[in-house]
Amino acid sequence: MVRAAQQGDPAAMEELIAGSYRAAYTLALRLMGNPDDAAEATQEAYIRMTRGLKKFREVGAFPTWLFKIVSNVCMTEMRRRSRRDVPTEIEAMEDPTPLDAEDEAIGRMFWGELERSVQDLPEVYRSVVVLRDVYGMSGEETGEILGISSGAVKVRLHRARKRLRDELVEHFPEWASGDDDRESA
Amino acid sequence: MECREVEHIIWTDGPEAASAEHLLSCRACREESRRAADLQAALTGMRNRFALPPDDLEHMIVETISRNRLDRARDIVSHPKFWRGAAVGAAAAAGVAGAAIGVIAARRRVAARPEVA
Repeated sequence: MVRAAQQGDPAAMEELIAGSYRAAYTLALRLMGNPDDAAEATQEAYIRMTRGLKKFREVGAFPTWLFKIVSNVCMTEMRRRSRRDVPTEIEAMEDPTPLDAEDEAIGRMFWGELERSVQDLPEVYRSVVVLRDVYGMSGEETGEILGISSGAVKVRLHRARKRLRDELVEHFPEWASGDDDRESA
Repeated sequence: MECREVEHIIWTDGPEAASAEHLLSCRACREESRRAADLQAALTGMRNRFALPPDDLEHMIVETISRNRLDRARDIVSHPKFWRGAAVGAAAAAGVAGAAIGVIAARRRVAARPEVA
């Protein structure tokens, strides 16, 4: 499909968009926190994607490439606007796996809490967690997109993960069991 | 190795990077390592959960891309360089056509001339 789109097949391009735009929009929403901004950034990302598509060689890595474009568009836009700590507007997320009623309720609560905790992180931490932990980019790739060193990525990641841990421990105390008996070895 | 050091490794480089030997002997760090692994797995799982995009987003993307292509084509055509190139191309084409016509006419004249014995 990517190859056909590269050769200018409009149907293949539409299929490519249909199969990827929700993931692209979700990433934009996670980074920007606002549905309108995310929709705008997603459109801009697809324009850039079509411009670069002919030169794109690693067809199998299309999603990763698209995610990098989306991230770059979002971070550029956020830097331009100097917007920080936008309000959380991620509410409706679709669960990909069908569960029974109880599991579904627990799952919904957990995922909702996790999503909220990520959104509540200050932007400098949120972007690192989203790119590195959620979308699996390397430290170098994350640093490149954010315009920071790999060392700074590590520091932010450490702080972000610990903040998330504290949030989740607070909301799911049973998850935190065995937290207190430290010992030196 | 101190717990503080192990904890730092767990949350920076991941639970798999922590000393297995220390984790075997320290329950608290083992628990911390489990929590880090759980969190890592959950964050990775977020990738497969999608937000509901605006209803018309897909259509808007397709439209934006086609509009953008048209705009780019218009930009190229309206740029002075394009017309300079076109003028040079037209002049070159006219030159080639003129030369070809000249050669054909000359050949015809030669063919029509009676042979001199």
